[in-house]
Amino acid sequence: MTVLDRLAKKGFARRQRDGRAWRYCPSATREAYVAELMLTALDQTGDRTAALARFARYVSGVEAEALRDALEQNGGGHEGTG
Amino acid sequence: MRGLADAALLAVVAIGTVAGVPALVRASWPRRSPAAAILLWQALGLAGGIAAVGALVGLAIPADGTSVAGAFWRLRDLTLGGKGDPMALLVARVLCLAAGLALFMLLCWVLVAATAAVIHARRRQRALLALLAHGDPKVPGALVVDHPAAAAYCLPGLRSKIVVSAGALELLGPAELAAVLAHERAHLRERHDLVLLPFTALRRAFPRFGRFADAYYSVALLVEMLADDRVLRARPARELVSALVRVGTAGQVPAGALAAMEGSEGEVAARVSRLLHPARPLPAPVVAGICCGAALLAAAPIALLLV
Repeated sequence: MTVLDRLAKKGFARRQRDGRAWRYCPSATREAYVAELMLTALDQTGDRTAALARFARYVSGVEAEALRDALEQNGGGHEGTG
Repeated sequence: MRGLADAALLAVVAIGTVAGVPALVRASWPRRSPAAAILLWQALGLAGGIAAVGALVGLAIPADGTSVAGAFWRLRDLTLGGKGDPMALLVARVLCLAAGLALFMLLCWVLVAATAAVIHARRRQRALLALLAHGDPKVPGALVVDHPAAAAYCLPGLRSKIVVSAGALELLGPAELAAVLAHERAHLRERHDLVLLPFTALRRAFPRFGRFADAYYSVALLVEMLADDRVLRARPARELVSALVRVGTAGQVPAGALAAMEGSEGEVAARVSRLLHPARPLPAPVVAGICCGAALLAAAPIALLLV
């Protein structure tokens, strides 16, 4: 009860009166929440608060070209370690 | 503070700091010693703000004030007594004072609003992570979010978190992941987010003023380079380079995000080329000189205001 109450306060759950009890249901799907997290993580929200620091953002085609040039000049590209 | 002369000097400092932005943006030495350059950026911002406010206040107060407080009393006497200065001059003084105070409050508000937005966004992130993320032995101390896109980031603050997506976990090898974690831990340990906050705040409040955006992107890049340097203390550069290239080229830049990333275009390439062709850090005396210069720059307008 307490956990659901807190989730409802944070907006993660919705609740409805049913007689003397509350009925709870999730307000969005897991996928929607993951998508929200990743949109912020990938900096695609246009948000300018800079609440988090990304390791590296996705580069454009031009920049990818520059990266490849830099790696080639340094001796034949990078080896995969994956 | 002695009225017009000091006000003119402060105005010169304020204009000088804004005029100095492009020079510092273009300079190549900051890449050799990011920490010193970041310090100089902070001093430039602080000096600019104080000098702009100080110049307006200086115009308002009479020349024979011995201190700011004394000058304010004198101004009050003049305003109430109405002797000496003509009415038009008094009105101009009061207007300048009001403009100075308004600018001061605007700058404070800009900082408070940006801080509040950051705190709000981080709270939301932490709540979502508490629901969705899980640990993984491949990235000790970090949280994993199950999403195929490659992303790694940190959430600074008192309860800081490092987050890695399942896509990044898949994409990167153990050595690259270690480099990513070391980079993010450097951000968190040294609170680089606080260094960047004033510049974020200015850019957020005045999105049309290009110099604020330029300053923001410069400091943001320097902060990344600083964190890269911290990684190099314990790990070879090639791990970091490889992680940067893999994550950077892992996804398409969506058309809609182009406008949002305009200023950070080339950031990853700049970091990679710096790691591949490291320049020698600036000599210690030069760094010391830059730090002294930064301290002087920040202290000068304060001294002009108070003395």
